[in-house]
Amino acid sequence: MSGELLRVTGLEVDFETPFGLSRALRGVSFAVESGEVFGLVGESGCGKTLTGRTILGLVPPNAHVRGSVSLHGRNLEELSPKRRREVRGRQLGMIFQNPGQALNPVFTVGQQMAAIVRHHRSLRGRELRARTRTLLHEVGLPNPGEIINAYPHHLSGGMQQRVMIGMALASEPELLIADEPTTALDVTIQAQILSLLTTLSERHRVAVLLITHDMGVVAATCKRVAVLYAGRVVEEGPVTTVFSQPYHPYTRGLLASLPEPEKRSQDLPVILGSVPSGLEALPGCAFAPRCDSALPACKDTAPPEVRFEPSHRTECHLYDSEGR
Amino acid sequence: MLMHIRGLTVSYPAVGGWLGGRRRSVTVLEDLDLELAEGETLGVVGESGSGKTTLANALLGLVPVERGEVSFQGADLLRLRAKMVRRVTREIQIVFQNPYSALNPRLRVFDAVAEPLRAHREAAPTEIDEHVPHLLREVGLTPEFLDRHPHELSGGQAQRVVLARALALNPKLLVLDEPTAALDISVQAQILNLLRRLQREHGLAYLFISHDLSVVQHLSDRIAVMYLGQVVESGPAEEIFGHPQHPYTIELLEAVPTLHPERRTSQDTLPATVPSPAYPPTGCRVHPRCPLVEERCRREQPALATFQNREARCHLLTEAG
Ligand SMILES: Nc1ncnc2c1ncn2[C@@H]1O[C@H](COP(=O)(O)OP(=O)(O)O)[C@@H](O)[C@H]1O
Ligand SMILES: Nc1ncnc2c1ncn2[C@@H]1O[C@H](COP(=O)(O)OP(=O)(O)O)[C@@H](O)[C@H]1O
Ligand code: SF4
Ligand code: SF4
Ligand SMILES: [Mg+2]
Ligand SMILES: [Mg+2]
Repeated sequence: MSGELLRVTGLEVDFETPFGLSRALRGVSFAVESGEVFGLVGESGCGKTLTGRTILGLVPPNAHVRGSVSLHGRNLEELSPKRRREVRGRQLGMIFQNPGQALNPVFTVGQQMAAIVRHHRSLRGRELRARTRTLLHEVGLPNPGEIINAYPHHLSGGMQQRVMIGMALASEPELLIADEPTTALDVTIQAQILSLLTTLSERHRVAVLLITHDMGVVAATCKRVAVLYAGRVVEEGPVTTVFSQPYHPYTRGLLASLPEPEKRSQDLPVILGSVPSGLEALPGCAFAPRCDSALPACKDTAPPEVRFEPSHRTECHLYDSEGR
Repeated sequence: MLMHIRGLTVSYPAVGGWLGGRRRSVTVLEDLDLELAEGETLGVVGESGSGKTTLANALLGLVPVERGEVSFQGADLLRLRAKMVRRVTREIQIVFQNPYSALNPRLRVFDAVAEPLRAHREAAPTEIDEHVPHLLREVGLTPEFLDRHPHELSGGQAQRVVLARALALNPKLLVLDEPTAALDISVQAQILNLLRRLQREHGLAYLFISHDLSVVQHLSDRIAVMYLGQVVESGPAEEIFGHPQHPYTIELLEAVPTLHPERRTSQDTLPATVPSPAYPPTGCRVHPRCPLVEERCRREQPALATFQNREARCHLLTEAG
């Protein structure tokens, strides 16, 4: 299967806070193709986790959500609440930064996995155990027989994350939402988990929405990427072109500020200022107060969407509608 | 040399638990040798649990040292008389990853930065009033921050305050343990620039500890790669990053995701996970994960040997000379 799997359109999330309405997502739009690894990147507080949770329907009660989430072109809002839960439960899986916290310390890995497998398929006895082993094997755990009887704290962080991925795969989802899945791991273990995610997408056609603050992780793993700033996608496109020819000043600034061998013993270019809070009114471009290239229009006119070839887009006043 | 570390060994008592509580000790730093010249940055890299933080703590006398020697400006740090400790240790300041836990939440920025000056009776109160704003300017903060409390600071601002406090006593050496790990990329760049400027202007030496190899590469003159409490390779930064020799260093560098994955030579990743220092592997500690392991590696521990301008701990390199 190929083609568009997930489309997020104009996603807005407001929180009711004691200080007023806080706009956490201000119209997030992007699309993920079947079987691809798609990166959602940005600095802390820009709305990465919230985007993932909103797709999964896991928003806190003080949140107001607008916009749409579609799977295979089907707007989830058009489904009955029951059907919507089913579709999400079956087609989407999620893993988090801290697998140690997500796993239950008092049950063995086997018990926790079996519970999930049973939830999705009515297997019992030998079939249930076999399916559990298959999943552990698929996520590269060498001796499922031993792992099944282990408690989470017996496992290293990397192994725990593999178990989490295995559990997320139990429903045979089409999309895995991975929120900073390697941030707590060493680079060597990170490389293994990223290579596992790549394998899952290539061999099993599971699409991955990889949420991360690490541009290197995106470059190593993703085919396409969306850069999030203050609750909005400011640039989206193929990783190769976004990283080699970024158009948005924020993307440019982020990439420039990374220490790389070529910049050794030099001052790094920095982005001054800080990310605006959701309470601030931002009538124009949210990046304007920090942007070196800002034009007079940037402060109070929302920047237009500009498309470049192929499938590379940004939101910025610097370019005209033909992408120049 | 500003500092010489010879044979530094640190053990922790193992917590008796599911093994039946038999008392044994776990050696987390073993025979560590390091040198640091004045005004130089030594980068220490290694996976978590390799002993980087223990090294920092040992230098500051925060953990008991089993054996070894740390000579700092000619003084033997581990065997100083109480009176000397104050004088020498003020020359060494430490900065940790989390600035909020380093700052007392009830103290204003002014008092946080003034604290070491008062404790060491370094300056009269009127001088302190002048010196503290000066220190803040050094780290790029305006005087408006003097009255703030830690919770009114961003992560980057809080780390700047910690640096201002560390500079108060004019140290010779800053031990920086993952100082940018908790910061956003754009803020990290600001702190890295600040560290470079402070080093230039004050002639500071840095012991820069990080698990992030690109950050270490950016600042360091020399590098020490640690694995399970030992240095497996050390040398000039360009050499270590440009031509790593030790099998572990090679694999570690390969695992770092860069913006240019196309430049990568192999897709292999290190197998297995780091063993616990409570049960170190026999022979070469790297052997369960080493792609070049030989029979001898399982039995004999390789010694740290010198090759031209670097040191490494590996049988293959010793053989090749
Ligand atoms: N329950 C909540 N109430 C109020 N604001 C929230 C809540 N959850 C998240 N936010 C806000 O939403 C914004 C985006 O958060 P998040 O998605 O966690 O960012 P990221 O994952 O990119 O670091 C932040 O400004 C955060 O403060
Ligand atoms: N206070 C302590 N008691 C017992 N073991 C400790 C203590 N502190 C650290 N360790 C152990 O020492 C080893 C090295 O830890 P650490 O120096 O923190 O490594 P790093 O900073 O490289 O991650 C680890 O195995 C850790 O579990
Ligand atoms: S729209 Fe204006 S302020 Fe925003 S990024 Fe573009 S140039 Fe900068
Ligand atoms: S001594 Fe043997 S196991 Fe150790 S690093 Fe060298 S080749 Fe590998
Ligand atoms: Mg997050
Ligand atoms: Mg540490």
